[in-house]
Amino acid sequence: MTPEAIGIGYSPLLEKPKKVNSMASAMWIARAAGFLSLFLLTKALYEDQAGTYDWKQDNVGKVTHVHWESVGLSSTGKKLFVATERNTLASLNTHDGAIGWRQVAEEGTRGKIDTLLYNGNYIITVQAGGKFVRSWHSQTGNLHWEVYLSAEESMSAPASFLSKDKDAVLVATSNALYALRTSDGKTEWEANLPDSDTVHRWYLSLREDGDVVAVGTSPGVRVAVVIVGQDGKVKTQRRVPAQWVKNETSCQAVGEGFLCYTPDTASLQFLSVQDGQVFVPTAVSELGFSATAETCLEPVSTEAGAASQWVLLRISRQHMALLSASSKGVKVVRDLPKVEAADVAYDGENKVLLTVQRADPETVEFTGVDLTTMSEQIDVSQRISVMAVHGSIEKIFPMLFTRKKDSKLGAKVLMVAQDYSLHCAHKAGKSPWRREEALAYMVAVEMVDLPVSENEAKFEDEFGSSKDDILAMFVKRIKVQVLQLHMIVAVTAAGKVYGIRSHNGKIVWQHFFPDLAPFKGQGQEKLLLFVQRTTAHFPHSPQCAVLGVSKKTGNGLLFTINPVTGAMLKDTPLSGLDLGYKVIQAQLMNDLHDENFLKGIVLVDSDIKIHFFPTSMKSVVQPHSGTMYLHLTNPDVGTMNGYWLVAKGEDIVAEQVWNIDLQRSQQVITGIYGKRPIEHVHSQGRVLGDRSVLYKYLNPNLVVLIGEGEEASPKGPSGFFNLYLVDAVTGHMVFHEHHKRTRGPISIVHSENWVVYSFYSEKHRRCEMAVLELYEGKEQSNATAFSSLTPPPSPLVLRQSYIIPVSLFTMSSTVTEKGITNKNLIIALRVGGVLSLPKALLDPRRPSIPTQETAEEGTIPYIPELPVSTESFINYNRSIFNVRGIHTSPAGLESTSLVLVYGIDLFCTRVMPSKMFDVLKEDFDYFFIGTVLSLMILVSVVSQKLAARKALNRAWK
Amino acid sequence: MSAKRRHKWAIDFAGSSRSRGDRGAVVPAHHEALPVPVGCVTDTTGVADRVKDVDPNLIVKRSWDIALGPIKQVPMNMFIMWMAGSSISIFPIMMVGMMFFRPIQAMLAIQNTFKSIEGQQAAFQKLVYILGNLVCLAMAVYKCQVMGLLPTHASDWLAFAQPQQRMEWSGGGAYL
Repeated sequence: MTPEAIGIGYSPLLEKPKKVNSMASAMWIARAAGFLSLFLLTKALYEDQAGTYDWKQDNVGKVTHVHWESVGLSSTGKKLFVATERNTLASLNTHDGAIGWRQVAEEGTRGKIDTLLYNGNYIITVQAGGKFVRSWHSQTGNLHWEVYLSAEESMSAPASFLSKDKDAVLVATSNALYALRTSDGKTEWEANLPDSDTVHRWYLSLREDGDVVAVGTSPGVRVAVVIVGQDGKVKTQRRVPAQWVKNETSCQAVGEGFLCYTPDTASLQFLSVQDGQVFVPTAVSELGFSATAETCLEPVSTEAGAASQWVLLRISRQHMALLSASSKGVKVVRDLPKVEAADVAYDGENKVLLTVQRADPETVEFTGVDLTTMSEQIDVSQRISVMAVHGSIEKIFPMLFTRKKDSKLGAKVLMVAQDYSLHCAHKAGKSPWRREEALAYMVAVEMVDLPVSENEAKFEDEFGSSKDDILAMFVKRIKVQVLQLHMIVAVTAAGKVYGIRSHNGKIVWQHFFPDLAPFKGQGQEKLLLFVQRTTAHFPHSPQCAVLGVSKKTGNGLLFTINPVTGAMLKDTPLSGLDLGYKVIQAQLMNDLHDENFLKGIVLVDSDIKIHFFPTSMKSVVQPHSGTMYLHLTNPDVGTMNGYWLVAKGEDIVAEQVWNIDLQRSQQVITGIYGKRPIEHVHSQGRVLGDRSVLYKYLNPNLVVLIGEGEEASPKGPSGFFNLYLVDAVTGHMVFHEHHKRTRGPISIVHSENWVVYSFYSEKHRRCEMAVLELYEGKEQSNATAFSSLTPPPSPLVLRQSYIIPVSLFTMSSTVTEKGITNKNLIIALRVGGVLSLPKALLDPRRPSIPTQETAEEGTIPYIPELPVSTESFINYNRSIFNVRGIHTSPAGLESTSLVLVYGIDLFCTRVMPSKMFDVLKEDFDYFFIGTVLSLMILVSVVSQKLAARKALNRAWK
Repeated sequence: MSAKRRHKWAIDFAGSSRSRGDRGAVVPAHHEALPVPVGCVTDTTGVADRVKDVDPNLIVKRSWDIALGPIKQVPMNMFIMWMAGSSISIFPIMMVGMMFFRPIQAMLAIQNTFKSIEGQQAAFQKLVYILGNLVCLAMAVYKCQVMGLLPTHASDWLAFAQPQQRMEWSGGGAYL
């Protein structure tokens, strides 16, 4: 039996039709489609199985805008409306932090939320620089109205209510100032703003007389000041030169003026809005502070869009100051040493400055200062527990209220910590709840199986108390095997690393590395995670390494963690090992380990020097150095260089052996995809209908390069992309494919001997998928070894393409322990589903005219459309959006592969592409079989006895 | 007794039948010496001689029957093969199994069978017998071949093929 035949799902397809003619072929297609739909149907879950093998965790991302729920004029504070960096608008329950409703906008600038306004019943979001203004029902999260304004997406558009009764919204886009009716979004008036091509940001504020002040900063040039009347007529318009203004300059409208902070001169620049002709500088040192790299201005919450009287100056992470500014100069209202974050809260006549500072490693302290009397408000001061491992508090969103029973002031505070976690002190004396929002920023993930062997029983104490008796331990061990417990190690762009249980999504351990920043090559945030030692090498503890960039020095920063317990390992210091050089590439050496089974990491610095971690690996690598190769691609230059690692004395150096010019002028390299090193290929070939073998071209050094570009055509510019298959050892171009009139983003799965990729076809205006399969032919030139230096003849490349009726975020393929099981593609669709699609549907040997032989081979007749049925959505109705990646990992069972889909949400489940061939079915009747078996044993024992007696009796006769 | 030893059977109206009749009784040691009863023909050699005269033909014929047995099954086997078809299900498999089982069983029991093949043509007959069984076996193998049960293709050994060993290590990617 061929291994492919194990795929139970296709066994009906192996059955061959008796006669093939044109009629029968049509029937055959119908039959195949029938089988296929049957097959897909059987994959769906039963209703009561929902949530037993999978879990989903919803996140919102790092909170940027917050409104507390209010009824009429008074705040109730039962709900929180938040807008986040991950383009999400959500309502959170103040009591426990649960998400009430959530609206996720598309990723990138098109979905970013610039401003959030709230008028009691409706939430108004200004998105994509004012391109979209939307009104949402605050109770349900349903869209109320939506208008489109002419705007520049990348700009950040400010907005505010036009008057105290909140019946009109002011939105400043790059082009104009709009006043929209709150009730239906109709434009009441529109005023053109100057410098629309240079202005980077507008600042809006309302004056007491109802006029609107708009100040626009044009980086490196000037600042434009426009005063618009309530009726939309431009009253005055002025330009003030300001060469020091930059994109990241922090500015704020203060009272009757406009204040900016310039880091270059460490000074504050003040401009009077009414008549100021020049900016008046005030050095920070004049105020008695010394500026740091973190010094900036922070906005102060205001009532109804009016410019605040004050502004907060952040001097460092633990030092702030409240300033007031007027034409007379900048004054320090209150110095706030040790304060991590502050804001002003309003309740009726009360104006209270709330500040937060760390009291001890486990608690933070709030202090309230009444801004009218400048005396401490003891009622709102409180201490709540926020662990120091979350870093400093970055921002607070306070809400002030008057208690009904004793009419004293109270405060609820939402805090955003440095690790993006959200903490909320919702009730005095109660412990605050916490949301780990860094999980919405996952960039690297690995799954480590938890130890189950006899020796490692002590680790099992991690799952329960150590007092468990033997039976409980046994049950636990069985559970470990059945549930296939794994530890998910997740590295996030926030610099936080989590250990998450794979079966329920609970966080077991977490570490926050404030100095760790992701690599930012080609606009992608990347942190590297390597499993250096798995749990299989007792008594050596498993080890994971996290590699990123140091925020302080820009050099490589490395941490080692035990993925099971979360303990930091002694190989690297607690604050991380600063490698002392900039890392441009790092790779785990999968086949090489030292005497302690620790796999080494090879690191390349910006001078193409080779380093190893741990450094002792050098001696392990030395004997193998002649067979090691490295390839580095610089997308900025468009070259791919190949290096040979050779021993030179004590050192190992990289010698350049080849290079490929990828024509940077025409295309940009957007991705390089190798095969997963953990993948096993069980079957070396493919059995054809005539029972001969087509051997797979399994070049382990093959990488896929994608180059995207644009070319001129009679109908205007049209996109294209090139796909190259390159042997990473020799630089040999194995295959090249050019796709005209197509556009990215291109998702790629490169596995075994095939490449599946998806793209958007501009010609047909639809998403398409294509597959390449590489075969050596019917003979294998070398059955025992594969060497790129003596390669087999050029492989046979089979290709086919398909229509996928929905667009997708990303895709991946399942991976199992031994590679016997069929593969499925896991595709995250933009409609929210995660589709599990059998690879057999993306098979270039699918015949357009089925014959007996193709039926014998088990190929499905070619139909251009790929079936996207809701039954094969592995996340059934739990839609998941803005997916960034899909991680698959082998489980303990050969039939099973674990899938973790991550983006803003996390979704983890298991898939069985060939169904559960190594486990008894869930509906297996254990009781019946057991009863029958024991009965039969009983009967055989009894009958044996009876037979013996009868024989004895006969002998006596 | 010597006649008994030579032939499978012989009617002996002399004492042996009687002696068989009163089996269990003690046969006296001087049994042969007892006088022949009146009216009995003592010379039984005549009968024995007559048997001897018919024997060679009968023996050869009978031996041929045995020797040709397997070959006679061939048409029947062919019919069964045709009836069984080439699909793989329980009945055809059982039939193929029987087709294998019978000649192999016959070959195993060949010692006993050869005992009963006698005569001048015995060697040739034995050869024919073996050949017949081999033909049956060959037909069974052919049937297996037709049904695709023989591991004669490269694909049948694919599952045992070891993955190719990797000779070089390569790694890298785009600048981080």
